[in-house]
Amino acid sequence: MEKNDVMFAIIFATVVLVLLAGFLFFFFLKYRYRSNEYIKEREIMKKTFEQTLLQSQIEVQEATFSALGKELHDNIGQLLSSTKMLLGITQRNLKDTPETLTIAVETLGKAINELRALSKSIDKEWLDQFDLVENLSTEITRINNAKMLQIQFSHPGRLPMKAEEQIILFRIIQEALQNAIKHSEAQNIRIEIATQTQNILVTITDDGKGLGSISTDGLGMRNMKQRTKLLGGNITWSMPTRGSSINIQLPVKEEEYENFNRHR
Amino acid sequence: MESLITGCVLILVCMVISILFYNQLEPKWLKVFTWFLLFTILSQVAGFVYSFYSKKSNHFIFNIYILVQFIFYFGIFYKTFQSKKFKLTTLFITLAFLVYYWYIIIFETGFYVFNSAGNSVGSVLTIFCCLLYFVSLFSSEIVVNYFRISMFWIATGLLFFFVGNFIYLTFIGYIVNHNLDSGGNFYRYIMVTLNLLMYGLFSIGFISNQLWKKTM
Repeated sequence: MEKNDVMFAIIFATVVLVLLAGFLFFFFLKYRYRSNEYIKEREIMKKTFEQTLLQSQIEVQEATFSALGKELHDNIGQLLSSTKMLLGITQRNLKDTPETLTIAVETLGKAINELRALSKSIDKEWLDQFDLVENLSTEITRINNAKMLQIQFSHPGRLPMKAEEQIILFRIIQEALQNAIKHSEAQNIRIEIATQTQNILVTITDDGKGLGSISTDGLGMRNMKQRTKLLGGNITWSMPTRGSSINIQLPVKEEEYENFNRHR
Repeated sequence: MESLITGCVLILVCMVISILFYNQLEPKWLKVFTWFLLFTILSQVAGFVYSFYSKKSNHFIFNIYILVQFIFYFGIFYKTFQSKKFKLTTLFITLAFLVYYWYIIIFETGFYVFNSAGNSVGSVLTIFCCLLYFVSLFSSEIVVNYFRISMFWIATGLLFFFVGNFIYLTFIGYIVNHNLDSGGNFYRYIMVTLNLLMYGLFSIGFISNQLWKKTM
C-alpha cells in the first residue's frame, strides 16, 4: 500500500465516522421531535380527561344541590309555612297572646326566609342566569343579618366570566365562608374581588384562629382546589398564627375581557 | 505556529462569548467552562513557548492538559446526569480513565512522551458519555426543547470532535513512524475543521438560552 493510500483510508474513515455521528445526531433529533409531539398529545389528552372528570363531578354536585334546594323549598318550606299559618290562626283565636308565641311566630318567619334564601342559592336552574356579585351580596346580607359575624365585600361590579364559571367561583367562596364560620371562629371576614387585564384576584381574609386545625387535604379544601383547577387558576392559603387568608387567581379569557370592556 | 494561532483564536472567540454570557449560563456550574477554556489557551501557548525556546519536547504539558480535559468533561457529564445509574457510570468511566492514564505514564511511555493511548481511551469514553447524555435527553418524559439546552450543544460539539479525531489519533504512531503525513498537513486540516465545529457548537451552547428566548 502506498503512503497516500493509507492516508486516504484514514481520511475516508474519519469522514465516514463524522457522517455516521451526524446521521446518529439527526436520527436522535427526529426521534426526539416525534417523542415531544407524542408527550404533548398525551398531556393534552390527560388535561382534557381531567377537565371532563372535574366537570362531571361539578355537574353531579350541582344536581345534588339542586335536588336538595327543591326538597328544602317544596317539602320542608311548605311544612314550615303550614306550621306558621296554624300558629297564626291559634294566635288570632287566643284573647291574650303569650309573648313566647309571638316570638316563636317571628322566629319561624325568619327561619322560613332563611330556608328560602338557602334553597335559592343552591338551586342550579335559578343559577343559570347567575351573577356572582349579586348573589354573593345576598348571601353576605343573609349572614350579616344573623349578627354572628360581619362580612365586608368589595368588588368591581361585573366580572369578565361566563355564568357557569361564576357559579363555580361562587361555590369556592361559599366553601371558604363556611370554613371561616365553622372552624375559625372569625368575627370579621373580608372578601375582595379585583379584575386585571389577564387575571381575576379573589382574596378572602378573616380574623379567626387560623386554619391550623383544618387539613389542606380535607374534602372542603380539595373541592376548592378542584374547582379552581377547573377554572384554570390557582388557590393558596396563608395561615399565620391569627387569622387566615385565601388567595385565588383566575385567568381571564380574551373574549370575556373584550366582552366585559364593551359592556362597561 | 499557524495552526496554534488558528486554534487559539477559535478558543479565544469561544471564551469571549462565554464571558459575555457568563451570568446567563445555565446551569450555573457551566461557568467553570470559561476557566477551562482559559486553561486550554494557556496550555496551547505554554506548549508552543516551551518547545520554541527550550527546543525540547512539550509532550508533558499536553499530558497534563489531557488529564485535566477528560476529567473536566467527565465532571460536566456527571453534573448533568439526573439518573443515579448514569452518574455511577460516569464515576466508573472517570476511574477507569485515571487508572489507564497512570498505567501508561508509569509503566509504558513515561511522563515526557505524549500519552496517545490515554488520549484515545479518553476520547472513546467521552464519546460514550455523549451517547449516554443523548439517551438520557431523548428518553426524558417531559417535552424538551433541546435547542435551548447549553449542554446539548456542548455534547454535540464533543461528539463530533472526538469522533472526528479518533481514527487519526489511534494511528498517530503508525503515521509518524512511516512519515505518512509529512509536515502534519492532513492533521492540521482535520483539527482546524473539528475545532471550528466544536468551539462553534460550544459558542451556540453558551448563547442558546438567550438566542431561543428572543426567537420564541
